[in-house]
Amino acid sequence: MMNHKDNSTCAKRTNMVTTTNRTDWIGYVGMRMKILFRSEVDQGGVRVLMLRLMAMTAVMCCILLCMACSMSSTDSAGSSPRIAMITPAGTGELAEAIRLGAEAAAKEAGAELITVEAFPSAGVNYAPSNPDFTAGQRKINQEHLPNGNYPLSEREQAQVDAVSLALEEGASALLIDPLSERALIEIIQKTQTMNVNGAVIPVIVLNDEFPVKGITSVISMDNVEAGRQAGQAMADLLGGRGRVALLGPDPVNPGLIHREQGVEESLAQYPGIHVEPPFVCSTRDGCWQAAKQLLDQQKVDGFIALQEPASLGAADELNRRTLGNNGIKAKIVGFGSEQQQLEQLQEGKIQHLIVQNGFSAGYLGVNQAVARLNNQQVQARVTLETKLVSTDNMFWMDNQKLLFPFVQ
Amino acid sequence: MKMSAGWIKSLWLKLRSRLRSSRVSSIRFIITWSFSVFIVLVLTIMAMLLHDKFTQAAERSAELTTRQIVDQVSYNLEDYVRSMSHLYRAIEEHMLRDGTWEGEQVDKQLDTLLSSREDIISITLLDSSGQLLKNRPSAELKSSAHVTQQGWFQSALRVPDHLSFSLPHIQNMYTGPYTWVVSMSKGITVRQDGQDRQVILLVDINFKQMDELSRRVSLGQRGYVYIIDESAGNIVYHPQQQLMYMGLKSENIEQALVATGSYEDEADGQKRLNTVKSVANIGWKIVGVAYLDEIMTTRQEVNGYLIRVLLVVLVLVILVSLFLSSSLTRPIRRMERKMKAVERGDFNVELPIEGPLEVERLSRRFNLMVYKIRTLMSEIIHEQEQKRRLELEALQAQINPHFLYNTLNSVVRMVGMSRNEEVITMITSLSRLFRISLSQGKTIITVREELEHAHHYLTIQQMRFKRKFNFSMDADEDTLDCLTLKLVLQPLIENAIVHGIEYQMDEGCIEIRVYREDDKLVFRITDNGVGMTEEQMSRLLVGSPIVKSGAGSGVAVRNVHDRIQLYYGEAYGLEFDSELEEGTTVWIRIPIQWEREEDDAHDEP
Repeated sequence: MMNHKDNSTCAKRTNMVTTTNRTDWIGYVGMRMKILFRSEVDQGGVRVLMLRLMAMTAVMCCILLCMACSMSSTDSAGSSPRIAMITPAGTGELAEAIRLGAEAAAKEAGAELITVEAFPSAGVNYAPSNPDFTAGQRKINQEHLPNGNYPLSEREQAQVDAVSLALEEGASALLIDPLSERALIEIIQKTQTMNVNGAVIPVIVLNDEFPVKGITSVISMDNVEAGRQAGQAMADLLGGRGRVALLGPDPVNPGLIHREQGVEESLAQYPGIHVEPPFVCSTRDGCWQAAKQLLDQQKVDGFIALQEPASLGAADELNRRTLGNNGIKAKIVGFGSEQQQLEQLQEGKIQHLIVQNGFSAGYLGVNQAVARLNNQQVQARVTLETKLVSTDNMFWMDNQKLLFPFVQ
Repeated sequence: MKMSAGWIKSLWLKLRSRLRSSRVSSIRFIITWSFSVFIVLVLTIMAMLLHDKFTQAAERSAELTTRQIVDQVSYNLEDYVRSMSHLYRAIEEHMLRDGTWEGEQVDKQLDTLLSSREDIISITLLDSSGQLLKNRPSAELKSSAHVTQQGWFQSALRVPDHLSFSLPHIQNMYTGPYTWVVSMSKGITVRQDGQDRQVILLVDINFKQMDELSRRVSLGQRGYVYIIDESAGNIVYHPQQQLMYMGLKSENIEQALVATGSYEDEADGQKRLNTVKSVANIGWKIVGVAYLDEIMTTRQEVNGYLIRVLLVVLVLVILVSLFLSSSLTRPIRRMERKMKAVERGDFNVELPIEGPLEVERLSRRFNLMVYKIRTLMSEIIHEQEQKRRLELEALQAQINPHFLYNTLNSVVRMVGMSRNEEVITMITSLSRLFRISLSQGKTIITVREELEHAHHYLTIQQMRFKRKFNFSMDADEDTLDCLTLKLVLQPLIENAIVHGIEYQMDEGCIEIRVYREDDKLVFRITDNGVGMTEEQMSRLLVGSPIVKSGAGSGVAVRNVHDRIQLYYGEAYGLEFDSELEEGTTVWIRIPIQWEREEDDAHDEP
């Protein structure tokens, strides 16, 4: 490999010079030259004078060349920024995809990416970007910690602690998928108190739309549009007629509120579709119970599950019912691309999934952070595209790349 | 190179003033700029030549390195594919040797093979309708997998007895984590119970190994390799596949498909070097992408560097040539100063004989020239002085005919009045007067003689003016033998009589006193005549020294002054002091000189 920064000979030759003050040295040479003139004139040896002068010139040329040499070698050395990515624990494949994307962008921009995961029980784990290592961590912890086993506040605290750790590690930018508005506010405050030397620590928020001040950039899908997509897909599945239930909305999460809006907007165009009042649930079990209740009470033709656990819970209930007796087949349209969801999709238990490209979230997030660090134009909001994947097309080449972003 | 700003500033100011002061035609300017231009030109040409050579070499070596790396990757992949083919053959051997795949023996061997290679995900045997015949590890086939529609199944049926490798895809036949696999499949005809039966043997290998082989490659900071499928140009592997999927990145696959060796292209405004290599047995093509600005110093970088060096050298050259030219022109400037001095009239200059040869020669010539001028000048001065001396001597030798005429008239009148005594005195005085004033053509006489001369003159005038005035003479004893220019007293006495006493009503008085004053000899003539104004006094010593014959003896006051200065120098001469109605005093100052012994030739009658 050609490496132009290899100026070892140069450096060696300039070492003597660089240890002393260069200006003094130049002055000294000038003095020497003047002395030369004076003394030479007395002897009248002009030839000698010229020769000496030329020698001096040559020497000075050499030294100056070396200086230029060392100059060029030093000015190309820049420090790479550290960007920390903090994900809530146990978010699975999506988090992994985000990390991969962030890594790709960091490599391109010459930045360093560190991932910090927040585990309330074991404290905060800082891990270098080693996929095997973090994957291992995640797996171990997932076994013990299925989603939603902690009180929210504890998880939030863990995430805030993770941010502190990242800042201690010298992170100059944060990529974060915040658990809640409260956690995010606290994190923003933390970064702002850390802005000691005037440098702002950009905070890039992924997959959430909390209306908090001080965020550099928000990178998420257009939740309203995604909701519309889901509603439209459900309407198509049902042929414009039937009863649809919404599972897993969250009245405090703006992202989920928007999804709900989108779903309702699109379904409102179909007078033949009746929308049940939404069921709030945030865990697989909770949503399974909700689906069970709903199906016990009345006929439901379709579930639109606004978040991952909800779609899994609905699929669980449908599986239970189909195993028992060939009951009515309700359609499920969900959000997410976790492995279990994909399995259900392949099996046809879930008809459609609205999938977002986690890789691009990470990639664009790091890009925004780097742009902010370099004082370039930053988009306050980056909208990610979503895609509707169905049982039939999930193994198309393009979709494979979207749904299974990494080789394991 | 961090110089203090002050230094640079002073340097700049110096430079600027120098450039301003030196006109385009000055030696200094010529030397400085021709030097600088020449050196920079040479350096630039060198730089260009080197630059071309350097960049070519850099490009070549960069190309070579990428090629080697890509070849290495290709070799590793081929090796891997080969080993997988061997494995496949081994599995085929063990499974279908006897036309049967049942039995513990077969299971055991397959399990051994499976455990020996962790990158084998599954071994599956299907019949031509896609029914599962056997698989290891034993698992249920998912109905939702639609085996018959998969690519590897169809290609195995299409080209029987040919081992085909699929593109990486997600294995979805078994429950468990979805993994990326490359499927090796082959349609095999086995004889079973005397009948030919078409079966398909599928071995799925984890794509991870290939992924890592390709991912580990580093071509500079951001360089990478990607793999395409030679038949359709599908992307087999790309480190930024997701970016391509998002449309944030694209590769020029058409070009890579047809290219062999290397080619350059541009992406996002950055030049890249692509190196292509086919992987045997599998129908893939590896493309190595290296960013030129990373793997070699780009032209801009080299240019920037060279420009920096040139600038530094230029500054240096200018400095050195300034020093040099100033050292060369210093003697010339010195010469100029001396010449200016000559211009101002100072001919007593001499240039030191030093400096460069030419300057030395010039200095010699100049000195010679100045010397010549000096001698010429002194000759001219000498001649002029001679001339003037002669003129003056001629003047003083002249006896004003008016004086003679007036005197003789007085004598005639006296004879007429039978004042014989007086006549005798007058004539005697007159003859003495002439004798002294001629004095054998000598210009220098003793004070004694000069006083005598004045005495005779006064005597004559006293008679002529009918004793209108008295006079007294008093000389110190030690002054009498001093030498003096002749005819210095008489004109002043004449002045005193004619201008001072003649118009006076009361009796005049002229007093002559000779004494020494330090090293000077002083004649003082005092009269009590009408005196002069300042203006008249100041006019006395200017104007033409040669006076037209008037009523006097013909030797004017100015003449006396000039002669004294000519003989004795600027330090000597006349000084007047006068007050109206009071009288005038004149001091004549000359140096004290003694008569030499042998020069004592008195022409006593």
